[in-house]
Amino acid sequence: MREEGGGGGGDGGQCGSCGYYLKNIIKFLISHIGLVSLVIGYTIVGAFTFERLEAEHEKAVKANMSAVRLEVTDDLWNITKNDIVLNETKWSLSVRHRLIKFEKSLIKAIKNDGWDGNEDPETRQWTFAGALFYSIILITTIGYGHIAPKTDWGKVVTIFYAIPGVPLMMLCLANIGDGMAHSFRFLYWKVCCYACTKRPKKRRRGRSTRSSRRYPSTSGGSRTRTSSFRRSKRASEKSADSHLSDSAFYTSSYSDPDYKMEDDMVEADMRTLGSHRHSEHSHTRASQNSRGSDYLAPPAKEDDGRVAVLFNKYALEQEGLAQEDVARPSVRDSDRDGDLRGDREGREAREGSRRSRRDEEADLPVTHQPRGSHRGPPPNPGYNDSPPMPRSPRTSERYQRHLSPPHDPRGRMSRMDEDYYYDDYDDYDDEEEEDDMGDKPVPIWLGVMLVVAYIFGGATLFAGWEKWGFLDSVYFCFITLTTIGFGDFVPAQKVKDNVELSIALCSIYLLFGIALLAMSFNLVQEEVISNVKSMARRLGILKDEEEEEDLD
Amino acid sequence: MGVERGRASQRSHGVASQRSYGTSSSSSHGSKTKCKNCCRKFVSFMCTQVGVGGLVVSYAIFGAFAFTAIEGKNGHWQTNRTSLIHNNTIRTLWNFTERLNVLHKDQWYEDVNSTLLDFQKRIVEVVLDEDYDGRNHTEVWNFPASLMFCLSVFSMIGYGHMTPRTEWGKIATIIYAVFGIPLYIVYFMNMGRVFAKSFKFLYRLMYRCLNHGRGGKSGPVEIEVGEEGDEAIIVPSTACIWVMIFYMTTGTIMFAEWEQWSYLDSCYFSFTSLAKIGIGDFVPGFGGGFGKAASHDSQTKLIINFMYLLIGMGLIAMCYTLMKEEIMLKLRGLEQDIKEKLYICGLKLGLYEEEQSYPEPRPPMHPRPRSVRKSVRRR
Repeated sequence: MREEGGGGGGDGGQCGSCGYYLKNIIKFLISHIGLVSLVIGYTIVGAFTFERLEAEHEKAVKANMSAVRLEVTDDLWNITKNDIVLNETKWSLSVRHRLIKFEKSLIKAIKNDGWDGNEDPETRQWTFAGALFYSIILITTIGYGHIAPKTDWGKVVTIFYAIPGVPLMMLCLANIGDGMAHSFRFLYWKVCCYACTKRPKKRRRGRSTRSSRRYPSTSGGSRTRTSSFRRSKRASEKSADSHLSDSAFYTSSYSDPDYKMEDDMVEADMRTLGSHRHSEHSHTRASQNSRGSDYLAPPAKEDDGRVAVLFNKYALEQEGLAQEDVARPSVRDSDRDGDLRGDREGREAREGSRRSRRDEEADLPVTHQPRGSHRGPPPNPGYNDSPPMPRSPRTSERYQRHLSPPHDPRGRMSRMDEDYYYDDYDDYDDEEEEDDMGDKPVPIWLGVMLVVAYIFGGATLFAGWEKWGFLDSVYFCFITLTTIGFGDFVPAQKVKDNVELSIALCSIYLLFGIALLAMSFNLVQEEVISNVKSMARRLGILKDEEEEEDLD
Repeated sequence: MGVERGRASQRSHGVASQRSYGTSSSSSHGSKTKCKNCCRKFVSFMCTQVGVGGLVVSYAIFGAFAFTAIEGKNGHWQTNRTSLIHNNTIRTLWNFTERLNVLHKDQWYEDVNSTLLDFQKRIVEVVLDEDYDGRNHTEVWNFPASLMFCLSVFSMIGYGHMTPRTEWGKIATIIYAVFGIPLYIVYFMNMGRVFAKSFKFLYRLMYRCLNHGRGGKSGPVEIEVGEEGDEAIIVPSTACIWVMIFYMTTGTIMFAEWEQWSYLDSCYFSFTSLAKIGIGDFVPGFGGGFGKAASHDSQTKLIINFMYLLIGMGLIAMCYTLMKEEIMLKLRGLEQDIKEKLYICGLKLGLYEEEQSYPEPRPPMHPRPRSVRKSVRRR
């Protein structure tokens, strides 16, 4: 999303920065607007469809209620008429039975037939706004159930509407969450920089020089060692990731640090790459860069190369399908804080995880091919050849040097170059610190605080609007944002006027909330992963693998 | 991952035992190491599929007990409220009936109708506010129903046919979800891998049996390469779709037979459950209707539904594992097309700066052995 040309803005003064931010926001919006408008269009189409299908049925149910009541009255009349002498007790008993039946039919009408308890044919649930709300709730998989299709066609359409709708919505929210995560990370580090001592910008060229050291290969011994180490590390990573990432797609934070590390090194490349993003040769040109192995086709993605993050329910581990963001350098380069971690393990873990992700992303071009990805026993710590993407000779040799092995899409891979990455970071530590802004993830407590604050803020709002208790509102917000969606509390049900407004506000709240959840997952992932890894190490799971690695 | 971890644990086991053997001379060291090894093995085991699956099931059972305890004793106040309404209505009706010495039918009808309307409104109010369905809480929150509730919480389905009404129930739900959802996600991904492996194995087996003697290439869509070298048997994505369709059909038939739903309703229920939407208008054991008491039969059905959903989600994870690359690529392509077009629009609008310079070729860098050694040593 960050335009490469905006790199100047980062270096410039405040005015330049403001204009730069504004531009970035506009670009962000425009680039996401396709997906967002697609989702909006989809929900509107769904709203029309469902309203047409269900409104008639609802009117019929409402009309039926007075008939039911009339029936009860008839029965009561019969009860009354039958006794020549009205005995109160006996009469009361019969009437009680009849009333219990009446109550059951009321409950059945509400629970089964979708009656809203109101006989007024004008106040329907299946208005356009209600149907729109239903569509949104459906494709976010929240699924309140306060209104549900009762006609046969409604149910069929629900099924076929949800099949493409759910992935589409998840994709859209994941994208938005990604973009928000980038912005947030950027803002956070800006603030942090001003708060803490501002570190001088290190020479990028020097870094790039150093980092290009990665590519030359070394001994096979370290290769096997690192491969097994990486393999085991990745295993633990996987477990950690699976805890954390609700993502079927790649979370952008995975690729983020990769980018960040590579960014300074290929900054120049990326600036120009961005301009050629949409050229016809973008595909090959992307590969021509030193990070060529790392992304599939960055063109056309000037902001979020990653499709990533939140595919809420269909959580899968990170996959090398996320594209790395090509045009990020300017933002990152402007103030990089390097590796702040004193904890070497944590850094290694992060780097390892970053590497793994980058390598997984490197797998992406591979998976075009029939060779595809390896699933099954861990891959041999050798190399397989690079993906058959056309590469310019300039970078091909560099590429050859860090070939991407065909690794398991689940991220098991044996990349040789990881020790060089560590190597780089060792040097970074020695010579420069805290330069790389994006490398250090946002602290966990911040991500958690964001979500909690959003829940409580929403709870306050809903408690005010809907006259629920505060606990009920918190409960409602939590259940909604985790897409559980019981439906015992649904906004805009009691409001008689401005129903559309309430529904619109609620929809915006929950959509934004889910995107926010995606964003905070994005932000805290690495931190949580490294924490889990260090904890696992302490528990001894990982330590064994390290020891094994020594023995290998 | 699970296999990997299993292997890792085996390795660790081997290594650890060697190590402990080596250090067994000092007994304190030996016992401590053994203890640590046991812990390691245990934790490693817990991270395998079996461990996680068992963890999920036990978490659900624990939650079921907890919610039965918390919500079940919420008591009969709903039925108290409704019986109050009943009594009032009956009394009112009796008054009408008694007062009319000469029964004018129309007048009586009118009065009774309005009384019934009043009754209706009040009952509806109770139903809508308190989620009343003719039963009291103890009946509602029996063990299998609580189990289903717990499942619907941590799998994020969220049927809503039963919801906590007490404050403690709501707080417990939140806490239960906070811990249950990550656990479930771990399980989900593990199951996906296990199923993916088994499915690939089965598919290859079947393929080889069917193509016995023919070293034929497999079908059109290629997703992955098998471990075997020359004969590349791959699982086409359509196979996964067929598996899902088959599973949903199974569920449809099963629920239609047991719950006496129509086939469409069963299909609708299967789909919305597996997609984790969870509308909640149909829930097995509640019969898609309310007012039915939970019989023993329906309790068994609830448990079977629980297993059905767990396995079904594993299958979905499997299909997603097997199909995701293809889907991702296609979506990527689509997204890029869209973004390219937007970028071009943006270019025209002048939002983007154009840069024409090309990157300079980078000279390949030579390695720095010193740093290499340093890093190796450090590690």
